[in-house]
Amino acid sequence: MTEKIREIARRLLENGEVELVIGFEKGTIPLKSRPVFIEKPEEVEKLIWDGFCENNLATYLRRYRGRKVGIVAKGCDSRAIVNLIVEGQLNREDVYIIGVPCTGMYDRRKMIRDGKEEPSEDYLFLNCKTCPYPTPVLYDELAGEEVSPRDRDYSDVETIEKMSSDERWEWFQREFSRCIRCYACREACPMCFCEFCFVDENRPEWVEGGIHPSDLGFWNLGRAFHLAGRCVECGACERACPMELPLMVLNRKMVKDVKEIFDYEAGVSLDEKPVLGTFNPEDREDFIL
Amino acid sequence: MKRIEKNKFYEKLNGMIGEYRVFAPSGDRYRYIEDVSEIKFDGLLTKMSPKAHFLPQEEELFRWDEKENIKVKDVNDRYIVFGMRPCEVRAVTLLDPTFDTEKFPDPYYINRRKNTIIISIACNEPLETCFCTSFGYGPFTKGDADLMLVDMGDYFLGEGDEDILNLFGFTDSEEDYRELKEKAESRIGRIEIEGIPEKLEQIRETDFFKKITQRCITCGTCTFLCPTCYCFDIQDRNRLNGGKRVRVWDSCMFKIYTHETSGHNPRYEEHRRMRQRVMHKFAYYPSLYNQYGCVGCGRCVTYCPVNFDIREVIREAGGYNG
Repeated sequence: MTEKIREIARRLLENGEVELVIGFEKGTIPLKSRPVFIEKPEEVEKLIWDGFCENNLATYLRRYRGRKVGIVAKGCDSRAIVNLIVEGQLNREDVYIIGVPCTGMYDRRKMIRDGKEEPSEDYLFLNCKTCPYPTPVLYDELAGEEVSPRDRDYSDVETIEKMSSDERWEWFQREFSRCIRCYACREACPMCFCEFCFVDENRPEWVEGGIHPSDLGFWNLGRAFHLAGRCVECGACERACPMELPLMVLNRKMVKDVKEIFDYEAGVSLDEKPVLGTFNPEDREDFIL
Repeated sequence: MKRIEKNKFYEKLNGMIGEYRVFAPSGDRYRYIEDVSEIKFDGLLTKMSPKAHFLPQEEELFRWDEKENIKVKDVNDRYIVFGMRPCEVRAVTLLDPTFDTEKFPDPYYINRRKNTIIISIACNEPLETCFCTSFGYGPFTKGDADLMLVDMGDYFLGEGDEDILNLFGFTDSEEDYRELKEKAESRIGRIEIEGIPEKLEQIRETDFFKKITQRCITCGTCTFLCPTCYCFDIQDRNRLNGGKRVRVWDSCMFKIYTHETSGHNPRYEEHRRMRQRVMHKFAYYPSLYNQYGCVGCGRCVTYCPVNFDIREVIREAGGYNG
């Protein structure tokens, strides 16, 4: 796959079809591949593909709006691109998608903790283990053979759903108490593109700075709600979080609900309008108080 | 040299909780502990640095009631910070010239600093991401610690002020730690920083910072985990029956950091923020205080979500001719 990606990138750059290619290169710390920005054909040898390409590269695309960019996209990255286009953040023709069918990414932090150097199924991220779209949903060229979807499994969400409201509140408080407000989750997320995030507003100040439990809770829950019907389940937020908060269980709850209530999945079709941006008389109303 | 059995040391430390508030490694961060059993070393370095004691992430400065009577926060507790690494001790030394100035002394910082006993532990086994020796000190430097311990297995060797050694009941020992120190130092990767401040000034208007910032997502992980980053914001929390003024951490990597009231933002672009961060540590701090603003703990390297590596950036800056 690495060779194919390099070959495509070289061609795109040589022919001047794109100004740069965003992909992955080997990182400087163990088990980490990191985003790289290739501008010259002779630099394509830096590009790699392995099980540690955990970031969602679509988060960079808005910086290059109006310029022609090539991007290496796994299934979830491609869903983010679709959603960015659907939400009017990106022009389809500005981006050349090098689609990479993905067999899943491995949790490097867990592997390092366990002293493992070789990836195995046990260390796949949960959202990869249950990935419905491992093959990109939108691409200009595919760098490998299609990968079959995996079965969805929301048992992590169900565990939280089964808790009593007191238990759940306690769980939220405990998990959120580790948040340091660095906003790595927000910045890693391709869908968190607000020019001015609600957490930064100070007129009015929706969320106070600092680490009071109510502010930590409001930030994390507020962000999850803002991603309802928009989250593409890439897990970039949780992977970026230095304190390892279980952010994906919140997002997956939203994904699950949106699927159940509206039969909608974010970022899978350019023809569908954002689910919470449209009204349909047949929409279910039984969840409205 | 002086020595003390570990269990004796911890017993003594436990007895001091109450008289002192003890801030110690407890998993991913330092916490004020009630009992030494809460001390937990999660690897060599906690994720969060102990700067959170000297400069809390959220700190009340003063409060007022409905009649606008102002009450300034009392900052006279006595503290022990236990378990700091030499880099973290050095980081506190580097905070001093910013907060303990003649013109604008910061009473909150100064009182905490003055009322804190620092007990550090030398690093027998530095990490791959450590580069402290680049800055003229190392894994066995006592620095501004009141007491530095060297972990010898069942006991600690101690180096420090006589009264603190006596307070814990250290006894004389013939041993020294030279071999451990040399072994540790030899494991540490160095970065070449000779001439870097001048070089950064030379290349500040080139594409260098645009290039290195490409992968940065401008979150605040590096700044919040960094032991020397100290930027803060002051906020008023007004309620019907009064309120308080607090100081909270801020980060130069945030877009809002330099967002001015007029709406103008001189560091709207990502690379301008990155330039500030890199130059603050490697050009402005040296020119102001004759010391680098980085201690080489490697937290920013380890925890950056996109593996932005400051060691590599300094190396590239050194060789940049663009």
